[in-house]
Amino acid sequence: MLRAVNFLLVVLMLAGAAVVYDFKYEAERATTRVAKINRQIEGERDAIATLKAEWSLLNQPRRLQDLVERYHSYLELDPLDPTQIGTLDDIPFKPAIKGDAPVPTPKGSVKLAQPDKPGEKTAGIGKLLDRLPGGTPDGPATTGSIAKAKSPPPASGPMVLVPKIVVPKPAGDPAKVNR
Amino acid sequence: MSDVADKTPESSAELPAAMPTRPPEAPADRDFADSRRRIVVAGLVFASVYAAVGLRLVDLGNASDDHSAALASGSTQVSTARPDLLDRNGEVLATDVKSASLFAEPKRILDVDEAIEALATVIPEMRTDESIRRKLSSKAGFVWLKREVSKQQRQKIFRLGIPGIGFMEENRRFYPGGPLAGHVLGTVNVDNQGISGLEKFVDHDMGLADLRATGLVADRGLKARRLSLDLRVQHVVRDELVDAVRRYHAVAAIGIVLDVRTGEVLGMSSLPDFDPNHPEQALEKQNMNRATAGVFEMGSVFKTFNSAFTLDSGKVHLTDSYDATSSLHFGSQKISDFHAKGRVLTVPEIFIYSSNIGSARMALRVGAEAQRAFFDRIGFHGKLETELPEVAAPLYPKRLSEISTATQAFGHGISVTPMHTAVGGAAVINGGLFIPPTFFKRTREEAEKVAVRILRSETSDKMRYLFRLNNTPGSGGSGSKADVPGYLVGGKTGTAEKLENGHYSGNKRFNSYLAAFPMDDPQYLVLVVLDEPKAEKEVGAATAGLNAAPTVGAIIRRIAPMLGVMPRYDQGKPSVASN
Repeated sequence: MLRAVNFLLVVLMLAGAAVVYDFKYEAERATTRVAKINRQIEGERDAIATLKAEWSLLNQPRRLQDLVERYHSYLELDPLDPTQIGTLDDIPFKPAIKGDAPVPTPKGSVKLAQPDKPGEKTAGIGKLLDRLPGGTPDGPATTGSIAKAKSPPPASGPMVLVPKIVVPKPAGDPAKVNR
Repeated sequence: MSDVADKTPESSAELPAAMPTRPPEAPADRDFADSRRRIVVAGLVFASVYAAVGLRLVDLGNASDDHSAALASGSTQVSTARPDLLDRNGEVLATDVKSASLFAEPKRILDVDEAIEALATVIPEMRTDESIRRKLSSKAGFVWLKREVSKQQRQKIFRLGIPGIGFMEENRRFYPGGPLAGHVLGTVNVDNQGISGLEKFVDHDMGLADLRATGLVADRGLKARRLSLDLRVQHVVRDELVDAVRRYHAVAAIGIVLDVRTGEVLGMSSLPDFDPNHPEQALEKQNMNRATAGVFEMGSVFKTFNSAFTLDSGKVHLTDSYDATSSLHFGSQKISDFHAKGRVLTVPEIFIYSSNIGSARMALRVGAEAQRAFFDRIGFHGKLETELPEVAAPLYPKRLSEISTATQAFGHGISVTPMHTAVGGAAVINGGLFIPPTFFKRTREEAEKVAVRILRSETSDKMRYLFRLNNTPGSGGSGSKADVPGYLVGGKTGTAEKLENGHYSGNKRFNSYLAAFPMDDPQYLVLVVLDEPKAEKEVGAATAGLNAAPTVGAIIRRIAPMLGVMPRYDQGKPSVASN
């Protein structure tokens, strides 16, 4: 009996020693790995910092301007002129035409902003949002110099993007181009 | 020293143990006693040998720290990390990059000559450099040999395998924009401590200087600081100034772009400038920051402030007229007009034709006290405190007199920095609020907290009308060359004669143009100053309307779309205010 207990204890002790030994080495290995990963992280961080610096160096306006000037004959990039800036309102809408068939509702079509007062200028995006279909209760669907078509598309209905007939006659104030 | 102390108790402990066992002396036991003594002696010898070995072990244990101690002392000298400086959109203006620095531990160097000879194969100038030899032969634990060694050199030196020579990673400050915003950002020294500009401010503001003094230094993870500067605007300002300096052969040029509602500086450039990557350039006198650290007689731009305070007093109205037919005399001094009209001028005419006589009469009508009080409120009598350490105090006459009141009305006899002028201009047109400028991001709410009302908002409306009138093509205003269709630019020219040896020089000018846009709802202010510009062509004048104004126009044309200001063409004439 005592012998069996002793034997068991010896076995347990040996097993315990082996486990502890393994733990110890496992911990050491883990420590080395952590140190290595930490070093790697450091290295990556430094690399990121260097790349960021390089990115901003390559994106310097001075450099870009020089490149644009040098390759002007290919790229034909010129400084933006204030007259080139406009809002959606500056684009005349396709006038509706007499005899147009009632506009079907295309599937998955794009809803465009529909200015209710053609002559008025919008100041910012806020007004544009107000004019989105659904925003205004009874906004007319068409703009342009030509009188409303007999069967205008539903007020909040989407615009048709398929070109039909273009009437190049935006006489009058509404579809005005600036200047 | 402690070794000696250790040894004594140990050897004495050995002796008492041996003594009592010694047997009484007996002739029969002589041999036995003899051998015992020998054993004791041998034991003592062995004990002392072991003691010596043990002590030596302790000694070695302590002494082996030498190398790491040297490294530790070196790492405290390593350039520490600094926070990145970003522009208002998050673009990098200044950042840290790692670089290697070469150091030596002279104690560990075996042969100084050999080490120098080997190093010289990579860095040739080391052979002749006496200081290197001195450093290596010294008894110091740690010396820097060369800061910021290139990668190739580093590899080569590694391969030489010289004992006692090593590398340490250091942070080096890098400014991707080069000279783009040198005066704003400032410079750092080789230990990465800010010595000028915002770099210096950041050190103090974040307590980095104190941390360093106590030896606590963060290696990384410092929060980036976001400035008010806009990289693109800054570039445009500098680019146009460089162009203006070349075209008009100016000695120097200054450009400032301010957000008039928050006081944020979006762009500030002063030419000639320097590249903060080469901090030694910053020390050259001509490269000083003229925008905040230089004071000048700004000239006619001051008519802006003169008109503002006279209109604000209520004693002068837009509809009033003042006689500008003949020059004003004060004793031997005479005030005359540059663009003399020789007739009675209304207040708007005085402004757009930039009449000195009219302005002086307006100022005298309201009085010297009121002028002084207003200049005090608008900050012309004190240093303009910004985050930049480089600020200059204005110069102004201490004593009130008629003549000084008259000359200050058109910007002579008082010297302020261009930044004073820009900030004052912003206060005049933004509704009458003086907002101290800042180089860091600030919201409108924060700006409102620090704003001080110095003018009634009606006065500001009138001033906006005058500004726009002066810029409207066809009005005959001096600023029509700065107009950018669609942006409703308004501004005031200033052509000051430079003081030379106590006399105003006829051919050396100091031209400026103070403008803002859009005038019906001012958002941004642009000030351009050109020092000693020449006429573009052989014949022709070199007035501000012909050089500073077009420069402002060019800047606004480029920055307005960037800043999101929509051009508007449907507004014909200014209809801001009337009296």
